[in-house]
Amino acid sequence: MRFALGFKWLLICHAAVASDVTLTEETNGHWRDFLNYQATADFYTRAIHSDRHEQWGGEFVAGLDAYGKWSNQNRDIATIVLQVYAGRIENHPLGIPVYEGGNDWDLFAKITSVNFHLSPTRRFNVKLGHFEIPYGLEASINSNGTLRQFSHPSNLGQKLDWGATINGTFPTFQYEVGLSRGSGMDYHSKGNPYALSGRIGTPIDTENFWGTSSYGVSFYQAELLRPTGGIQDRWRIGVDGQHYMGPIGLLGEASIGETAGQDTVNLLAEINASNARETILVYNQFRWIRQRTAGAWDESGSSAIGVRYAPDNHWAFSTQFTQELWQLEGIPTNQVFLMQLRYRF
Amino acid sequence: MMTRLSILSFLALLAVSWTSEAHGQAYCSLRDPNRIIQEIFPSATGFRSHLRKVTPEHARTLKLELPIEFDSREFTTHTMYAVHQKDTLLGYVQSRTEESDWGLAEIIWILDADLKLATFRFQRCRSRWKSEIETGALQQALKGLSEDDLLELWESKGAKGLIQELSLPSKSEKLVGAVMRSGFKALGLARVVWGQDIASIQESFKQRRAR
Repeated sequence: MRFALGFKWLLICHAAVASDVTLTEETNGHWRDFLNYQATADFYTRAIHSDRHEQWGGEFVAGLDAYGKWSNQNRDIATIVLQVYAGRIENHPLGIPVYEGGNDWDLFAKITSVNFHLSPTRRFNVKLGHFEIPYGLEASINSNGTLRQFSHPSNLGQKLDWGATINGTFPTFQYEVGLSRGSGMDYHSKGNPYALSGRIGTPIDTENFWGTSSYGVSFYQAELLRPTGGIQDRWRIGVDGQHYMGPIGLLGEASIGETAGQDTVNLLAEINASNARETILVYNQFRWIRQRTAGAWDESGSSAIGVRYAPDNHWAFSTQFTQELWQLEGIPTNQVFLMQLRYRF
Repeated sequence: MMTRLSILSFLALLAVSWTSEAHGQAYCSLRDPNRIIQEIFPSATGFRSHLRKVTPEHARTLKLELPIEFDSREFTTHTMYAVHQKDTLLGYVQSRTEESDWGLAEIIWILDADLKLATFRFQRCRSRWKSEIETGALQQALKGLSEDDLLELWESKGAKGLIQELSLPSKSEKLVGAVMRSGFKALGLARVVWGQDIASIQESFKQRRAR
C-alpha cells in the first residue's frame, strides 16, 4: 500500500501544507503561533550503467520535502517531517525495490513522521510514521536522496519502515528504539512481519551529509516481509564510529548476526575528504559480507568511489563507481556507474 | 503501480505548493541542539522553536553595520529557541555556521534574556583548537557583550589581538575569527530577523510574571 493511507491521504496532507504557503506574512501570524514550517521542492535524476547487463537506465524523481514544528506558546509539541515523492524508472538494469520491474511510475513516502516531544527538554519523545531504522552510521549521517549510502538495505534489508520509536537526548548520550511493521517502504501485514531496532550513541544533535565525530552501538531483530512475499528472520548487533582529522573522515560499521538462520558478518569502511567550504566530498567505501551458506562460509565484497559537488543550496552533482570484488555463490562480479543531478528550491 | 493521472496530479500539487526557499539538505536531518540546551540550562522547563527566513535583504542590512559576510547557503530558514524555566525567560539559542579550519563549524550561541552574548558551544567543528577555544579565556572575554561591545572589541583588537591578549594559540586565529563573526550574526539576526518574535516573547513572560 503506497503512502500507507493512500493517495487521498497525500492530497489532504499536501493541501494542509500548501494552504498556509499562500498566506502573506501579515495574515499568517495566527498559524505561525502553532505551526512553524518550511517546504522545498526536490528534483533529481539519475543515470545508471550496469556492466553485467551492458545497459544504461535512468530514474527521474520529483518530491516535496517539508519540515514543521507544532508548538504552543510555551514549548514545541511535535516535530513533523513530510517527504512525498513521485518517481519514474526507465530501462533500469538492476531495479529499485519501490518500483516494479525496470520501467515503472510510483508515488512513495520517504521519511514521513511526527515526533511528539513528551518531555520539555527532549529526553523522551515518541515518533510515529515512516522513519529511518535507528541503526549504525545512517542514524547520524544524512544520506537521503544521495548516491552515497551506508549499510541499511544490504545489511538490514530495509532503510525505512512504518511504526513507532521512543527517542531522546541526554547530556551524555542519544538513543532511539523502534518497533515497526517490517515491510519497508510499503505497509503490509501479510505474515505478520515486524522489526525491532535501536541505537545508543554520542549526543551530537546534528545529522548532516558531512558527518560529525561520534560512536554508537545498535541492534536489530526482524521478521521481514521480502519482495517475494516470504518472511525472513534477521538479527544484528553492530558498532559504528566516525572520526574526522583535518579534511579526512574515517567511518566504520561492523556487525554480526544471522540472516535466515545463517551466520552473517558485515563490514563497511569509508575514507573521505572534503574542502573547507564543504562543497566537495570525495569518498571511497569498502563493503564486505561473510555469510555461512549450506554449512560453508561464503564472501562478497565491493569498493565504491564517489564524488559529490554541491556549490549552493540548489544544485548537487554526484557520481559513483562501484566495482564488485567477490560475489556470493560464485556469481560473476559487476561494475556499476551512477550519476545524479539534484535541484532543490 | 500508479496511474499516470495520479502522478500528474501530484506534480501539479507540487508545482503550486512549494515555498521559494532553498535548502541544501533534506529535512529529515534537521535536529535541535538538545544536549547543549540541557547543559547550559539544566533548570529549564521547556523551550520553543521560532523558525524564520534569513534573506539577502537581512544580510545587506547587517553588512552595513557589522564586519560580516554571508554565504548564500545561509539564506534559508533558521531556528531560534527561546528557553524558559516556568515563568522566567532564561535566554535564546541559535545555531550559526561559519567556515573554519578544514570545514564548516556549527556554533551554538546562547544569548541571555537581555540579548547579550552568554556562551557558545561547538556542535560540529574540525579544528584542532576546538576544545581550547570552547573552554578557555575567550568565553569570559565574550560573555555579556552586546552588539556594540563586540564591535568595539573587534575594531580595537580583532581576532589576532584578542588571541595575543588571552594567550591563545596563534594558529587558532581562524577559529577565533569564526566564533566572533558568528557572535555578530547571532546578535544581529536576533535583532533583524527575530525582533518581533523576541518582543512578543518578552511581553508574554512579563505578563506571566505579573499574574
